Amino acid sequence: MKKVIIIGAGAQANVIATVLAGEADIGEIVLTDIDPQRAREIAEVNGSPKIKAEAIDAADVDQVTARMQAGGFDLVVNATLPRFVRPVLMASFMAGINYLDMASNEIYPRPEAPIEQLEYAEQWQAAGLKCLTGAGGDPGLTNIMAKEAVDLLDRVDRIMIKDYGVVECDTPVALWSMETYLEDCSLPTTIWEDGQPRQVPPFSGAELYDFPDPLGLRGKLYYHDHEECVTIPLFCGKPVNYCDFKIGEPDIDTWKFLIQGLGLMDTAPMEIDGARVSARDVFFRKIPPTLPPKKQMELYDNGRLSSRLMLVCDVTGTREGSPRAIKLWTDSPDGKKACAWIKGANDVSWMTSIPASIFALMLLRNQIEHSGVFPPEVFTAAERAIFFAGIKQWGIDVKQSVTTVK
Amino acid sequence: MNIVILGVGAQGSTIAKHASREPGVRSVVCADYAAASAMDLARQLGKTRGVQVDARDRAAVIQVARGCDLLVNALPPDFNMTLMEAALEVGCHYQDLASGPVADTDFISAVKRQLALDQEFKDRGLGALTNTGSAPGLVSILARHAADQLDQVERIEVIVYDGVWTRKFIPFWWSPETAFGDMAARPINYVNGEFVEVPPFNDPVMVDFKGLGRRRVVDHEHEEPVTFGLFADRAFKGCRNVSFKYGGPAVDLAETLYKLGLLNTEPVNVKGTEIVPLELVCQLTPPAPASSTAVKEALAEGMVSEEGACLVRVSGQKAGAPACVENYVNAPGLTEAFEKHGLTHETFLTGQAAFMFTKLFIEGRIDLTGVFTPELLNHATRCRYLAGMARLGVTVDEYCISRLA
Repeated sequence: MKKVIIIGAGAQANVIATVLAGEADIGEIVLTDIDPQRAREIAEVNGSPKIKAEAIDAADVDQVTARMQAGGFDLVVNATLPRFVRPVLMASFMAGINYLDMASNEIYPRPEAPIEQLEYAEQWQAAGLKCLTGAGGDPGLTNIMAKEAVDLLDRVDRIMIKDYGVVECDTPVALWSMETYLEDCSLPTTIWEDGQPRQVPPFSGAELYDFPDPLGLRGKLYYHDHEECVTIPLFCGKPVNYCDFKIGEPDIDTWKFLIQGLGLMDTAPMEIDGARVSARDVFFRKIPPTLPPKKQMELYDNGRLSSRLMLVCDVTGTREGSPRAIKLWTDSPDGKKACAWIKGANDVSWMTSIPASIFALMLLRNQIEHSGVFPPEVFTAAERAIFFAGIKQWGIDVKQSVTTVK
Repeated sequence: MNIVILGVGAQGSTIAKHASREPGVRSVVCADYAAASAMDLARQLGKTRGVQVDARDRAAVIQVARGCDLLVNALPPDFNMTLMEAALEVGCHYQDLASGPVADTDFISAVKRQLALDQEFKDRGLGALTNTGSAPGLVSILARHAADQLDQVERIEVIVYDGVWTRKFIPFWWSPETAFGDMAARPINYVNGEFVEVPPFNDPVMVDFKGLGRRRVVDHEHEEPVTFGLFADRAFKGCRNVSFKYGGPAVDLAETLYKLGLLNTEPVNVKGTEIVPLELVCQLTPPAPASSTAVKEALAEGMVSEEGACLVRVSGQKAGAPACVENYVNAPGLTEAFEKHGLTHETFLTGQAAFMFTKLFIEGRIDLTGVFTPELLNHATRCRYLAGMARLGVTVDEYCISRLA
């Protein structure tokens, strides 16, 4: 029986703990958070005796290391905020346990190590340990989708990944941290161009894209700082000329106007009514907090909230001399369905945490050959097949179309 | 005819320019609190003189209006009552552009108190024509025209989409304080024969505008549902449903700010200090371009989009079958309005529409007395009005849609 420790008891941990608890070969899931009450709530709602709640401070490397060493764990799932990547990664290494995370805190335009996890590559490789990084939905599932297309081509030209979400509600709601989203929106973005990473300004690369069903709409997107567009060119096994990640939603231009037009993310203190505060201080005071699970369930149930997310990966290149365009896209549960399936989940946490759970199970079952620090695009065709079969059981279907230009 | 125009902003100056060229006009007095603006404008025009006046001071207004046949109120609606009373006192006709919003009372009361002066204007044989811009004004004429073609009128929808958006961030082409106030006001719909106040940004719908496509619009506080409702029996065959809807990037922006609570006037505690969110937002919002140089600079940076639509849709029954008449107003966008007339799209359209009502007075085409709105004008006068608008470059496309019973 395998033992797992999850750091961070938020929306992702809720789904991951539920999926893992349902597997016969998983014996114990220790769910930790700086606020143990959050961990206890998940354990209570879930009801599985396998899930145990504990307090842990993810910033304290020694404390986390000691807990990991004492537990005899087979895997660390880092489901806390990206700023705790370094301490949790270091603790896992010192405890000698395989590790999985879903994001990076630092993305730099430097080809040798564009994300902080890769700085630790040599030591993990030498120790024969596995650090599977960026193993959620995007990054994660998107990396696998890209690799699927790359394998269908002899030469890869462009990889273009898109994330489009629709949230409709009669009152402002956030299905994930709006602070983090707005901060990401207001920062420069790294894309891969002419064979190397480079920075572009926030809200650049505007594009109108026709999304296939089940989204079936035309939506506006902009570049967004994301891990996969700097790791895929390094790890997918073929030279990539161009790789980008774009995000979109019906309100994206409104956020653009609020951030770039009004300057609501500006941190410089300004004088308002004789007081000195920054625009961002006031803005953050008014933006909605992430929906608590109970409130979210209520909104879905009485039809006031509906939401759906789609990930798309377009890859162009050539096969046997002729240009080819490959499109992969997701068909996954909408928010209401996700929330009914696992209490408190929504379309976004589903798209992130179902893939993360399958990645975790694959690590636990020794179904991933690679070692060291690596993102999911290193997976072999057989490993990808296990992954796709796993997420399909939880309603995430990946569709594919190939266009050959004669 | 002698005319006095109160207020020489974008609308007042447009009316003055046109009026001073009318053969039937003997003199124009341009009056404004900003004396220099009034004088400057007068110097550029024939038969015109500029004077300084404080429009809050009824006696002062009476003094400048003495000897005039028509008082045109091109000031904010807050001055309506003072100027109407002055017109009565002087014994001249009266015209204004809007009934509300006003600071001292609610929207419906603002309309009703103007109409309450009906008998007094009638007794003196005078006409007071209110709400004479583009919307309300031109659209009121179109709504009545359409209603006259139907046997039974069930619903009138006035729908305005403003998709003029410059690369330079200028969310509003008028004062941001006013804009946010208007946007966050509670709209009034006329529903089943009753006035119903609804929340701001109520009932978002996608309207498929001909030649433009589907655009999102929401309920907006405006005069049409109020005056059409009040005059439903006289002008609209007893129509019981009237709405005004508005959309565009500026509306979307205001909606987000409103829903986040950033247009609140209630202070919030931010790091130990009480801050009024609306104050912050007003401080951060760039002002509307104040000069033609500023507009020119904005245009030089280019447009993100320059699209718009003004649709009046009247639905009901004709010969026992459902029928619908749609009128689309064709007017220049920002670039064209500015290049040809030195005005923004909005001030161009409103200014021309307002002047054409002034011209009806000048030509003696208005046979009504009392206090009335454009939808009450007779068929011949409305036709005359639309023909005049066409000569100024504002035309209307009419689509009649009917189904077999």
